[in-house]
Amino acid sequence: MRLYLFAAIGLSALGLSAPAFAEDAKPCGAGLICASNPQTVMAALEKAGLKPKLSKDGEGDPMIESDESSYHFDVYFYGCVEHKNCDSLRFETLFEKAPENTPALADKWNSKKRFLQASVRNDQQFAVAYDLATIGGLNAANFTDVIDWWNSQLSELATFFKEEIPEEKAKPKS
Amino acid sequence: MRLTWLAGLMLLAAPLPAAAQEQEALLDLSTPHGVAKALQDAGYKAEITKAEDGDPYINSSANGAPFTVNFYNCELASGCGSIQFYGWYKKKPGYTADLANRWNSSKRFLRIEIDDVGDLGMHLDIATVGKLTKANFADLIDWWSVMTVSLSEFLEKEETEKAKKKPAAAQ
Repeated sequence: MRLYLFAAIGLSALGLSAPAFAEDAKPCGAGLICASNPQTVMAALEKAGLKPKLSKDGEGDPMIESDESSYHFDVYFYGCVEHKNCDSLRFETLFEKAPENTPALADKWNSKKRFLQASVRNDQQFAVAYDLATIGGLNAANFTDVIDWWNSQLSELATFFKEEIPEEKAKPKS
Repeated sequence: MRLTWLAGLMLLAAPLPAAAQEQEALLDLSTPHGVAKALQDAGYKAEITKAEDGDPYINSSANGAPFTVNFYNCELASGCGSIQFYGWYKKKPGYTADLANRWNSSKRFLRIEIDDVGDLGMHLDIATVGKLTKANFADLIDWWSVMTVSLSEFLEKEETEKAKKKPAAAQ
């Protein structure tokens, strides 16, 4: 099984380009889930049985980790100003460096599937991510739908790896 | 652009509870009609049309560039469970998996891919079950708008870089 990385330690949200002046300074609406209020995200992930752990990334922005999906994943907070009023989330799972991690493999996923953006990093780690805009807030039902997509697509990814990577086929089921 | 939009939103939401409620009004995006209305209310054109297979989709435009809204996970009873903003660029020699990866490994929200005929597709998927607040949908359209402009600049830069390398390759 392709090993996922425990990406929490020491890593920060990638300096992924974003529009300048990002920030969500408006209070998160009652009952809604927003990156600007990390506790709302925590509560929603807890309710979904994902046993989230809240910490900070290398830059001091909030960060959440979970081991309860097909793979370990992190939730990064983006568009923060002084580590607050963040305007978006990014669910992300990383896979260790391996020769099969090629742009062609990522493109194969990206052209057939939805919701997860696959890529290969400079260090040959394979990444999948789901970006979530949270200005305006998400209600509980919609956030549950988001989590369902994240979980189901990670499961699809496991199938994709088995189909596309020879040694995954060869490995006996454990 | 986002700053202007945010400033406008805050003015709208300011002191009246009614205005705040309007921003938290929920949009039903499970039907083409619902999405078309939401786009129009947000100031974008939206024309419902049909694909060859009979499935409806929406033609819209942002920053003068056309895009479509496609519907997925559709059931008669409950409508469609997700939508996707989609746009594309016609095949060019430089459109490779490597180029797509250079974008996907450094940019958020917009997933790009090179399809099997060499066209470059750009996608933004939206989960719509449970409904979205008006403000959240507006934020998503804004992300589409901003990131597609960013992609356009990225592709131009890639083409310039490629042209620079040509003389060396010809040797």
